[in-house]
Amino acid sequence: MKDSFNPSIEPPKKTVTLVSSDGYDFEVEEEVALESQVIKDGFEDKAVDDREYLLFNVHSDTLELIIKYCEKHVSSRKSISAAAASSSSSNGEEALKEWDEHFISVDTNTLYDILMAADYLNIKSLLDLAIQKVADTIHGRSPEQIRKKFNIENDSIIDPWASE
Amino acid sequence: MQQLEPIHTPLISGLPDDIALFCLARVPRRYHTLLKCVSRRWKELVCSEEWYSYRRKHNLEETWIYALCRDRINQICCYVLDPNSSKRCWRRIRDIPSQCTKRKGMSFEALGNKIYLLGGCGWFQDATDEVYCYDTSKNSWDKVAAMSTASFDSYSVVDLVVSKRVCELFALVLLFGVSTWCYFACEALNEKIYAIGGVGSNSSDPLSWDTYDPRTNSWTSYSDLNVVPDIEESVVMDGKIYIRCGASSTIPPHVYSVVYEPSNGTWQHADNDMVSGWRGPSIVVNDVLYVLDETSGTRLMMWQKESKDWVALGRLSPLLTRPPCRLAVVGNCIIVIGKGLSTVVIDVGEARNMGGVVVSSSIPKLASDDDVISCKTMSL
Repeated sequence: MKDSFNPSIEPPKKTVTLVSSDGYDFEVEEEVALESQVIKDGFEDKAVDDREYLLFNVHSDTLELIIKYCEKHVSSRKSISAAAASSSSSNGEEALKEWDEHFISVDTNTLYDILMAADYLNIKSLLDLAIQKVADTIHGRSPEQIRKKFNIENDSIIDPWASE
Repeated sequence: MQQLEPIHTPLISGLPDDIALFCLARVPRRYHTLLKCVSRRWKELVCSEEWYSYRRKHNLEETWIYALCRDRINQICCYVLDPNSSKRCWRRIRDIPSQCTKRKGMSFEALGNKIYLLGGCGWFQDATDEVYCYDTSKNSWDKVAAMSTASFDSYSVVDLVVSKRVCELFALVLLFGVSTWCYFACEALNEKIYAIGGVGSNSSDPLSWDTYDPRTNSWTSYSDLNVVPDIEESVVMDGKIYIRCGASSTIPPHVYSVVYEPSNGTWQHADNDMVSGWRGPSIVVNDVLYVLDETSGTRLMMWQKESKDWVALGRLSPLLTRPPCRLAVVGNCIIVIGKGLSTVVIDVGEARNMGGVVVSSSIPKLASDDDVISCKTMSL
């Protein structure tokens, strides 16, 4: 505990290397990488100097976004719990929600890439966010608009007035 | 080999089907009809068992209320209410089988993702054993296995197994009478429908209860001396079926209750203290029994198991509740549905903390004064 008073001897932050499918290395802080349940599972068993993950299913463009999301969530969680500890009022949760909303407002292909990467890496909050975004694009639209949006061929012969 | 594989259209192009299912299953239930119109694959998905079980597993299911009513010209009709929709209003379900629309004494039950309409009789029609099943995802009514018409006691069932000739079967029916399914109780328990109290044509017959298993689409018949006619109410509490029987119109009222214990398949007399306050439509919310006492105004009563006491939670506004009512439960709320489908929603958690008048929100009634026969909920 004493050491923490002197920043110069603070140990360097542990990092993990994530390698995208197109071969780019991303060095991220351990706690950021641990947002992924897949990385978290069995993390302790891995040797410290072998903490490199080859993410065959995630392109560097997507990985960059995923890391940005995880970094934001790690730092927000810290500031929210710090605010709670000092019992000062904080709108951290609200601000994070807004940030998420802005983060996920991307074009359809990027959204799909994030969705699949979040599923592959098992980052539950991001997966939920992306799934909800796709679901939200569906309701409130007519079948024709849905087909157009999701590029679906009209092969249905259903009475559009059928109701339940 | 490549060309032999069926052409697979993805649910959403660019996404694996399992992830597409995650997304589509999040769409609120009121839009499911719309989803079915998008493509064949979407329709198949929304109508599938997989869809139903996925939504259930991930707590995405939404509960809707179904009401069986009788309209001004004495026709049976069915309505549905989505209590979470912003414009809360009852909608009529089309295409009830025409055979049913004139019947009286039918039972109404929800099980799984289906609604069942059972038995009944009419002025020009003997009691029927027919059962109709409404598939909410397909929006269609289908006939399923009919209830057993012959009511045998255990001795005769053994006989039936031994005898193989048709004439012997007829002899048994003549000897023991035929049970008729009109004005009987229905409850869903352990993934089966229990139809209780089919009235035998011979008054000395023991009364029967039948169970329906939707997986095998078949009925099994049982009888017990403790099951009696004149079932006025029924409710499932603590995994047991309670029926209130007897004539409350006689003076003094001869009312009592029997309870079905599924673990040993027997009917026993239930606690008298409980029966004394069971004077009206009943519902169980979070293992607690509530009764709407309609004898003077409408009072919501709660049964306290530990102290064996009925506690009055308060009165409902006569401006909103129009008895006779039926009850349904959605989450923590009791839904009181009266004449013309006038609907009052009472949050039980809040109601318990208020004295006197119960606070509620209401949903507009229909233009006509339809009588509510039965209300059930179905989650999908």
